[in-house]
Amino acid sequence: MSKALLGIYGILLLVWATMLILLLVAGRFIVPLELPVPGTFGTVLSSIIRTILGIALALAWLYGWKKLYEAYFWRLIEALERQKER
Amino acid sequence: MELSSSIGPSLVAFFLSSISTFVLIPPTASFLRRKGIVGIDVHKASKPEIPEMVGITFPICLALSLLGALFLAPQEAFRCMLSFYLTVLIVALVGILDDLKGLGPKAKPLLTALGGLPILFLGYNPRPILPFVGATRLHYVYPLAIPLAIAVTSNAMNMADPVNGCMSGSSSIIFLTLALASLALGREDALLLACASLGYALVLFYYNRYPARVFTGDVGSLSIGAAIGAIAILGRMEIVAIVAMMPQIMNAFTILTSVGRLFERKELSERPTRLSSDNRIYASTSRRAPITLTRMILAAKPMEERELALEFFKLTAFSSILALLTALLMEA
Repeated sequence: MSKALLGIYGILLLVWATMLILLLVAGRFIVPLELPVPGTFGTVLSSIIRTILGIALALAWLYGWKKLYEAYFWRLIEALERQKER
Repeated sequence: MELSSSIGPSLVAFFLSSISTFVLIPPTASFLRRKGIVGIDVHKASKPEIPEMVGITFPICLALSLLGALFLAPQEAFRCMLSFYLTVLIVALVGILDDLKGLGPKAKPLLTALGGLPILFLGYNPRPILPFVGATRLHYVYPLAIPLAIAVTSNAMNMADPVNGCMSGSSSIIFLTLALASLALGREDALLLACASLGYALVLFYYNRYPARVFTGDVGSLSIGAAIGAIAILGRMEIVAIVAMMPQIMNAFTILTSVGRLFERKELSERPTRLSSDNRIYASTSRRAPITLTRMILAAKPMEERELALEFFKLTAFSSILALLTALLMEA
C-alpha cells in the first residue's frame, strides 16, 4: 500500500481516537454537570447547558475532521499536479 | 428475546434473505432490461447498459426473510421488525421515485427523513449508549435525531457508490459489523435485522461486483442505508454504526461542503474523476470538482475500477474494526 493511501487510514484512526477522547471528556465533565440553581428550573437549565455543550463538542469534532480531511486531500492533489508538471 | 434464542431466527433470516435474493435478482434484472430501465456503466470502455433499480428487491426479500423469522422469533420482536421494515419500505419508495422521476436535491434528503417516522411511532429507546459516558438521556433531542439519522445514513450510502460493487460490498461489511456488535452487546432484535440485511447485501454484491451484472439504483442504496440507520437506532448501537460508516460519512460530508449546497450529480460542471484509455481512473486536479473519497484515493494512486472498489472495502473494513472496538468499550 502506498504511503499516500496510508494517510487516509491515519485520518480515520485519528478521528476515531479524538472521538473517544471527547467522549471521555464529556463523561467526566459534561454529563455530571449540575448548575447551583435549585428546583425544576435548575434541573432544566442544567440539562440545556449539558445538551449545548455536548452538541458544541460534536460540532467541533466534525469541524476538525473536515479540516484534517481537506488539508490532506489538497496535499495529495498538489503532489499530483507536481507529478503532472514533471 | 434471549441472545441464545435469537441466533436461530437470525440464521433463518440470513438464509431466507440470501436465497430469495439469489432467486429474485436475475428475473428482476431481465424485467428491468426489457422495460428499458438500464444505466450506462461509465467506467468501462465499451459503456455497456446494465439493468438499473435492482435494489427494488431489497424490501421484497426482507419481507420474505422477516416473515420466515417471525415464526421462530418471540412476539416481542414483532414491533421492532415492523418498524425496521416500514423504515426500509418508506425509503425504498423514495428511491423508486428518485430513480423514475428524479427528485430534487432538497426533496431527497427530506423525504428519506420520513423513513424515521415508523421508529418514532412504534417505539425507540431515547438512551443511546456511549463509551465512557454510558446510557445518556436524550428524551427531547433523540426524537428529532431519528429522522435525521435515517436521512444521513441513506444518503451517505447513496453517495458512496462510485464503482461496481462498492456500495453493496461496503454495506455487507457494515451489516456484518452490526451483527457482530449485536452479538457482543446482546442486542437480540438487532442481530436478527442485521443478519437479514447481511444475507441480502452479500448476494447483491455477488451480482453487483466488478464487472457488474446489475445496478442497485437509488432505491437500493437509499434503502440499504436506511436499514443501517434503523438497525443502529433499534439496537442502540448508534455510535458503532457511525464509526463503521466513517468512510461513507466522510465522503458525503466533504462532497456537500466542497460544493456548498445540496445538488444533483448532473449539475456538476467538473467531474471528480476521469477514465483514461488505459482503463485506469484518475483524480481530477480541478479546484472546482467536488472533494470525494474516490478522488482522494485516486489522488494517492490512479487505479482500475476493481482496485478502487477493493480500496473502499479495505477502508470500510478498517473503520468496522474500530467500530467493533467501540462496541467493546461500550460493553466495558
